[in-house]
Amino acid sequence: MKAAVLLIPLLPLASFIITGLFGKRFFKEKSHYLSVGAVAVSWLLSMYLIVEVERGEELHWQVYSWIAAGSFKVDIGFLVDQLTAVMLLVVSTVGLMVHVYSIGYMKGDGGYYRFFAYLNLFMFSMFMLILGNNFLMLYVFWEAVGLCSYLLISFWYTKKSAANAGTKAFLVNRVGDFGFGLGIMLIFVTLGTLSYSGVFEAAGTIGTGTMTAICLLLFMGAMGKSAQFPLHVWLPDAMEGPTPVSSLIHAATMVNAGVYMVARSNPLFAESHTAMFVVALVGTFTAIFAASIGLVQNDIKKVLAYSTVSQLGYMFMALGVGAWGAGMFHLIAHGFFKGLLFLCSGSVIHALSGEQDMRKMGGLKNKTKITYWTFVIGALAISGFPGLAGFWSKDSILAGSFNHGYWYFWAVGLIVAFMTAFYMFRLIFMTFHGKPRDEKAFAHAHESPRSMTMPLILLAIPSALIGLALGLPPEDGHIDKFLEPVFEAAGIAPHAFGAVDLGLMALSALVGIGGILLAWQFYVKRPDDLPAKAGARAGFLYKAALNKYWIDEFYFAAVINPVMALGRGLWRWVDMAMIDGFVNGSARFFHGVGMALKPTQSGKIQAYLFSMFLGFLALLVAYLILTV
Amino acid sequence: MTHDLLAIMPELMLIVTAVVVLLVDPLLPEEGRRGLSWLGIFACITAALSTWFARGEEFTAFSNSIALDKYSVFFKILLLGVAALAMLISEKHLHKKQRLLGDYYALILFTTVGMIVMAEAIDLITFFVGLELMALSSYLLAGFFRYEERSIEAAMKYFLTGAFASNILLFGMAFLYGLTGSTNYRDISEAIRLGPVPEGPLVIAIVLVLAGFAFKVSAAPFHNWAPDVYQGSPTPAAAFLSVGPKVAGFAAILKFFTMILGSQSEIWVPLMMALSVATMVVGSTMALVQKDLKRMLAFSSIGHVGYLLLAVVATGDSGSNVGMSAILFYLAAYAFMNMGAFAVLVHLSNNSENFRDSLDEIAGLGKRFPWAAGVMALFMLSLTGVPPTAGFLAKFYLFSAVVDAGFAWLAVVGALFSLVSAFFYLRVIVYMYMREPEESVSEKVDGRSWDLSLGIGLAAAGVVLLGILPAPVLNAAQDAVQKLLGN
Amino acid sequence: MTPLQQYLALSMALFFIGAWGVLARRNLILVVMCVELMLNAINIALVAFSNYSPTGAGRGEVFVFFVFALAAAEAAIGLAIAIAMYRLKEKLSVDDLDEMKG
Repeated sequence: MKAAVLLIPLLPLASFIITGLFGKRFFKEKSHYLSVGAVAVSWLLSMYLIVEVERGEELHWQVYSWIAAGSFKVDIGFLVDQLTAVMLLVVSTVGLMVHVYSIGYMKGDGGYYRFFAYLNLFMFSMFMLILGNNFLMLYVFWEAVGLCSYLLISFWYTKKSAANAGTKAFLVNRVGDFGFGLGIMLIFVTLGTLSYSGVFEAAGTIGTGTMTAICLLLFMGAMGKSAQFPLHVWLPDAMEGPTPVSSLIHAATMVNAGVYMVARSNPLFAESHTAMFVVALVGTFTAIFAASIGLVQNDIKKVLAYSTVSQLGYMFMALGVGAWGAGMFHLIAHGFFKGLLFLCSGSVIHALSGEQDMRKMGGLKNKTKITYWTFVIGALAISGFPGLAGFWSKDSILAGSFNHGYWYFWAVGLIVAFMTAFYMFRLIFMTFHGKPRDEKAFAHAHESPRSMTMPLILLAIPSALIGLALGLPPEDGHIDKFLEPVFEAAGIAPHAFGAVDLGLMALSALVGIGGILLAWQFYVKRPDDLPAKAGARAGFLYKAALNKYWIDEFYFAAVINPVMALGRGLWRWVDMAMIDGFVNGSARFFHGVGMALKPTQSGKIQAYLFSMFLGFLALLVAYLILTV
Repeated sequence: MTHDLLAIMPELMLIVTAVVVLLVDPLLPEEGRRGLSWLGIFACITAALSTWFARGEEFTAFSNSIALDKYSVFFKILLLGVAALAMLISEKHLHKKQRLLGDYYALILFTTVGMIVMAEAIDLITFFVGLELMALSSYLLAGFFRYEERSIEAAMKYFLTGAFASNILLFGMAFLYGLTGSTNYRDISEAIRLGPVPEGPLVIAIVLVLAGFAFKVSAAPFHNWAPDVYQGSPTPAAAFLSVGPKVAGFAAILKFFTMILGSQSEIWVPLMMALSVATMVVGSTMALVQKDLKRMLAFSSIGHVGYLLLAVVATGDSGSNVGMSAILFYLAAYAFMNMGAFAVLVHLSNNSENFRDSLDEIAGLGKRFPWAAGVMALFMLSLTGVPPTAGFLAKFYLFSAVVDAGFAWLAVVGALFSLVSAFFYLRVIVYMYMREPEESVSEKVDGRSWDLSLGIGLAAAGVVLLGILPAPVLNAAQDAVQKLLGN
Repeated sequence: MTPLQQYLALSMALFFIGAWGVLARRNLILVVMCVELMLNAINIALVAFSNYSPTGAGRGEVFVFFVFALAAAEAAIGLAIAIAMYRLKEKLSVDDLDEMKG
């Protein structure tokens, strides 16, 4: 097991280094062989680890002591338990699929080798993030995946919007990380250790106030990384990156890091009801907020981006109400189908030679059959169509909320389910059905190459079936039992499936199907008048949603501009005048000392000897002075 | 008798190899001489391996004049590594200057034997023999390019100041012998501790010894020889000379001042503190105003000695092991980064028509020699003490030990001068990447040497590995110093 | 018996005379000679210590033999460097060695 744990992250790292250094000159178009190969082996090893964990094996492995400075001891160590296994499943599978997909998608791009190098670096960072056994490793690799995200969002760095998006992602994450870092420091100051085992064992000893503070600070980081309101603004912009990046990082893996972090820290969160409630509140609000924006977006990737934000909200809602298993279940399911959906959208964009605006699409159903059907499977899954993955996971969350007494969250969640189904099928119908709205693009449309469609098919399978595999029977399914040991401290046991649950399940199913049907009405039956009429009726609300509720504009006015003005002021007065003055002044001082001492190096040996002799005498005199 | 000979097997290997090299050298054609460096390296590796495999036993040899324990194992391996690296990087340079002679390698081997003896000696006489062996061979190494004025000047300066300082040290040792009636470290230590020993002569002895050692490791105000010697010596020799004698010197300083004079720490600790501060001041500030890179590195070495002396102060005052193991780790890290930096200069010299070792020459190096510039940047960062390099951990452990011993303010001073030093280290990086090459820059020639590249690579690897995986070396250092105190 | 202090005084006097010579003489050969003088001054001290020491008798002389040998080697090397310098510069003045400074 140990060898596997080491190789899983190190193979992509090695591939990153080699591809990065030599890709430009030696590999060029063949750069993908090494990268994909490395990730493929990591995938195999991950599967092996999952099987091992299934059998009851766990791994707690302290590898070496990295920093030992007095009382501050930090180690590099690995923890492989059920939670790790769950994350490995999603990360390695979707990761591998995206790598394969990228062969076709990025073909011919000038930075081909760079892309695969960055993807590998990301895989390394993400693997290390989920395999680590202490908060410091979590933080370090949290930052690392953020860096990779930045590099990949602004991959086409010559495009200004891409560069800006990358910067925006990085900065917004920084705000969240500020809280995250404070939370970790607070943990260390309170408990003196940062290892998961050490912290979780001592969780009971922390006072409620401190614990709430810690959890809220940690959650701030999660809000940034997993794009929850109000730190969600970077994710839609991150769509500037190549679609495989959107799929891997901004749907299936990196954005899940926040959810993982909260899930991993469940012994801490379980001790603070306030914190849990905040998590659920933020998650639920974000879910409906983002869904409402996604309803009216016209860029195919933006719809999926807001959908991701919304679904992440669902996951946090689950965690916040104590339905830990349900939240992780949805993470798995969402990882697969959102990853699939993005890759499908990429396939569509590829087919239309770069077009992303859905208003210009239509009628692609027969031209891109594989993409269409896999897209539909993914959409059905996310809409909660009975039988497919999303149905089981979403219902699990909703049931969890209801059963733990949070009926208001449940209600909002139900509404969001409806909206989700609606906007997903709006997307499907606008893109694939009806008459093509842009004849020229439509004429050139073609199905994507095998390297792209193969991953689509491979991801559609788990999207369809993983619900059945893991989620049955509901409330006490395979996944819940599997994750029980991890969430033991949180102390919430799954309960049996009763009549109420059946009713809830039926309600969720109805709501999902209802959304699909309504979308059918709007976009297939009466596409020319109904959407416009509804838009006019909603009036201001429609405009608000279209403009993302002007959040970005608000940030600019309230935060960014004042900060920049402050920065300019500080620059002129404090930095240039005072600090530069001080720094340059002290530099001049030391330089002066050096120049003053220069004559002592006269070049003449006997002068040197003389000064040595004087030094000797000085030592004697110093001794005398000190003792008398 | 055989027991004694076995004890010094590594040294014997080196001596025999050196003699063989000397004898065989005149008989070899030009190309054949290239193999001599590998013979020397082979000898060093074999010696290191034999030391490593014999590391379990601890005993003394030659009637209690040398001690083979974990301390000597640590230093032997470190010094042999340094020597091997030194031989690895020099062949092409010597060839270019038409001074490719086996004598060079023999001298390096002899110097190394001297250094090893210095580290393992526990008797004044043996120590002095080792010291002189190292010193005399070093003088010749400095002047190896005997048709160049600078090299001869360096050799002469090194010789005169070195001889003068050796005499001072010897006089101090004579006094120690006179006061205690023995030349064995432990016996002297006992005698001083139990006493009574007349204080006047004892103080004179301590000051003499302190001054002599201060010269050897180029502490201020006994440092004046170092910039000229390192500047004038052949660059690969300077690499070796800036590292080896310092390592051996500190090995001996630790033994002298903790074993022998441990009980007299009230006498020498304040004095060493003064030396340390003076050294840091001189090292950092004078490096700022240097245009020649070798001279700058010389003053930089002086600065590092200042930090090391701080740790000796901390050790002596508190009597704890932490400072000592930090010193050993620092020496190892320093060896890699300093030799690496000089080695890059050797590389540039080999690959340029007429390399003048000045800052102007390295302007725009990032474009002209990307790999060299990159690895030089690594060494500069390590010398500054930037994580995650070896230099950072070395400074970190060292300053932690100093603070632990209660000298927090000294650590602050150290950190301050470390900050000042950042300027001239980072200036190199700025010149390499942010300046355009001047017209006066030397032409590029082909002077590729796989040995040299291997050497630079090893040094860089050492710097990185020690920075992220310090544990093995740190543990070895801690083991090494266990027995020193309380002896 | 002449007291130890007198021997030591002689030794120190010679040592300082030698030191003065090293510091003040211009001719390199003379400087090397003065270094040797310092070494021999130390030898005197060592032998004196040996004679007056209850425990360490004999050690001093052993030390002296080593010092002799090393002093000889040192002189040889020093003079070799001096010869090399003479070949290059045709002068043997200590002051000439000042190309590197600052």
